[in-house]
Amino acid sequence: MLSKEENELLTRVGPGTPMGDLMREYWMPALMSEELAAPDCEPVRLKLLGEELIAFRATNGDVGIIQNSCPHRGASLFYGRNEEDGLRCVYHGWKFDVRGNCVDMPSEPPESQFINKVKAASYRTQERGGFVWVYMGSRETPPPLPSLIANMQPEGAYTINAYYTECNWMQSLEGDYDTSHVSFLHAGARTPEEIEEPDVTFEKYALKTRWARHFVKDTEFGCTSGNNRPAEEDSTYWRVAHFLFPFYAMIPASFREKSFIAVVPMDDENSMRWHVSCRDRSEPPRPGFGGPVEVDGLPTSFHRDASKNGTGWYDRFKIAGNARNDYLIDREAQRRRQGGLGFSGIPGRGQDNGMTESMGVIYKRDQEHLGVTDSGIIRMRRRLAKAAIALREDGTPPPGLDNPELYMVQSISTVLPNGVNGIEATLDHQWANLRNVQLAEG
Amino acid sequence: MLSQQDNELITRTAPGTPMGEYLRRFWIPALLTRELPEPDCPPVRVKIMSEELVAFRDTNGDVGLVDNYCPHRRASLFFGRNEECGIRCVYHGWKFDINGDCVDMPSEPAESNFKEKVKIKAYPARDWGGFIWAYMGPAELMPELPEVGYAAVPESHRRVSRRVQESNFVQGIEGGIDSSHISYLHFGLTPTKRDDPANQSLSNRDGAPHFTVKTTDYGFVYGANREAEDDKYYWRLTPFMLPFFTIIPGGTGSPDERTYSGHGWVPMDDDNCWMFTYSWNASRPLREDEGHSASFLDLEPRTMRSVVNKDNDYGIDREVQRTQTFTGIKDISVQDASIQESMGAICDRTKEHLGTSDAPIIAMRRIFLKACRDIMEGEEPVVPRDGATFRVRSVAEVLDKSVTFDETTERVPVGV
Repeated sequence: MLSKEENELLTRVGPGTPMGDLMREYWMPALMSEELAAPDCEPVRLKLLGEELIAFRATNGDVGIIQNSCPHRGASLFYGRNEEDGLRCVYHGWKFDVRGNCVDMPSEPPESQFINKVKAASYRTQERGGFVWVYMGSRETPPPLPSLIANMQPEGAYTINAYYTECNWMQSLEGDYDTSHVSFLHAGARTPEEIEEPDVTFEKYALKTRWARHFVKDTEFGCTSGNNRPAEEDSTYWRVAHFLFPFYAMIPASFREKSFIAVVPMDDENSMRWHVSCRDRSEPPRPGFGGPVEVDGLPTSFHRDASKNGTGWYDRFKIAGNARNDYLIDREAQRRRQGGLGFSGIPGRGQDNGMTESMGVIYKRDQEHLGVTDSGIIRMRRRLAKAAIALREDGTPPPGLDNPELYMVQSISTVLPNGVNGIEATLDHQWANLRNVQLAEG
Repeated sequence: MLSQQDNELITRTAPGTPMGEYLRRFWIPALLTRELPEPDCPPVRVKIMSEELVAFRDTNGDVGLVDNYCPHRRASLFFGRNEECGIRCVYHGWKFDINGDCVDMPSEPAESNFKEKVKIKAYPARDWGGFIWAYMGPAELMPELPEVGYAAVPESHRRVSRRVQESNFVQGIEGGIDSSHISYLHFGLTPTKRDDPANQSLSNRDGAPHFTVKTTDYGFVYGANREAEDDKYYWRLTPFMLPFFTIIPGGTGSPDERTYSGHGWVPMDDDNCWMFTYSWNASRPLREDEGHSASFLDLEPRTMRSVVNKDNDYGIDREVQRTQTFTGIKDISVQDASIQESMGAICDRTKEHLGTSDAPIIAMRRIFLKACRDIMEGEEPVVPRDGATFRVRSVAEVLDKSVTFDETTERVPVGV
């Protein structure tokens, strides 16, 4: 449970807020590279940390992310002409390059020096692993990109899935770091008997024992949670998950061990969720939770590509289920109680959005009742709040910012002998990626 | 006219407000019995007096009315599984019974006793007269269920409905206890299902009726008498039953054979309310098409708002308004809604000008203000606790001018 003040600290990310300042110090995934498919393509409206921005790919292929409103009289540059290495406002023809410099001001007399005095706010960008990354922070020289393994793969060796959620980033991320909901929301109607052997993901243990005990440990990158429950008589099933500053979760299941989730705040009330894995994108998507795959032209689950995006601020990667249609809940399916659809009756990722959005757009944490299941969430909140205050008060560099290699950590699910601390016992495995890189570098 | 302060007092009903505390001492219709048609059916969202709740009918057939938000991490229980005598949150499987006890907490370790410490807000709920009634007040002050006429007849003899209105509830009540508007707002209607055409024309003949109010145990009754033929008055007597119910005068035949209708105005939040409508006949089943026109409106299924609403100017047809009816708006119930909503979500009563025909409205506000002041001063406001108090009905009669108002009111209370 949090006070109103603590909750505000955690959830508000606009310019000048402690949490907003903290996030701005990190590189953030802004959009998928393919949303700006080719030089001089249509610009994209981009909302990040409460700021209205326009992303465009210039003639030379570089990506610019600049303020939405033209510095002249505020018209939106979304309507601009993206041409000859700059975005030109269609109101009076002022033109800006990817760094925000005004490179043409044809409405002013030829002798005018005004062009040299006007700049559009712009943020540094770089592309890697299918993302356009953006740095909105205070440093002259930005920190390095975090070494997230799934974002460092060659084309074809990774997949980015996305979906938009109409709520504050923190409650959405809490849903990721709380892996205990999987046994209910996603798998409450599934039974251990339906798991085929060999059960490489140890899923049957999670279906056999739906509660779990929790250990949490602070780490340099954030915190690690070890969620454990009985496996066989002499063994324990461990799920080791990570929270990494400022908004990443790594959730275990063997096929996802190198994957990560980023919950990027668009503003206080809207967030973009990125699920990045080392799976080959050409592989067909894994079966969802059942129910319709698409409704009214929108997927019920992950988006694989940007082709269905609209142009509005909140029109990117929308899923079919939302608060206005009760997330397409099918009460008959809920009653039948079969498969991944059968506990909630909600298809696809509407399951997650339905829960986290229904708490209220900005979840007020003053009436909750947290159990031991929530110990990871409690720790994550504390770490974030503390780091935001430390940055604000003493300029303390936020965790992980200057140590990109920390982001090579991975999540684990495994079976260990009883009585072993699963967080400590799997450290080698958690850091295997970093070790391999160090070995390769000699 | 009310001061801004008094207007706030009678219109605000969230928990902790004086008016909200007063209303919470009554049984209040929350939804229709038919909205929870069978045990373990899908739950229904209910918002009353700014409290977001979920109603469900459990395996035993009993109705639970609990907080919308799971006490764990506050996901909505609307999406919950209604099974085996409880509603189960689909996020982490926590389950609550109709009393608000947490009866299962499967996400916590087996040795945990956290379950015993967690409760969800739950209100008593009863099926009664086609509505599911809720009691949201202090347990020790719970009154008897009101013995309203439509609860005393078989299901076939009544028709009930509800719709949302986009205004504060007090505006709804005020529309219901203002008999003079029928000579205008509803003028020129084709004969309705409700009113005797002869009576209708009597209403139209004299557009300036005389109003008298008499305080009663259930609230008050007011009479409006209009000039009729030969030394006679056309009397319409409307009971106002606390805290927000009316019975509309009308119907044909002897008082025992008439079909009566009325409304209850339940605050949803300060800016919206539920209009509950009831029609009943004590002597026979209702015909397919019989009842108040509000019960036959087309509603948007999810919001329960009339499809003809403020977003489409209530379907006003200016040509019809010019040539056929006073408003150009089709349905009598939509006519009422259009006017009550047009005052703004909460009517600014500092700017009104009340005439003599508004006497019942003034009487109602006095009762509310007195109750609010009682609450603020720590006094118990007057709340009828005996269900039989509510055995009343309306009067619509042409009577000799020699019959006094008091004599006409004797026709109102009827043990049904």
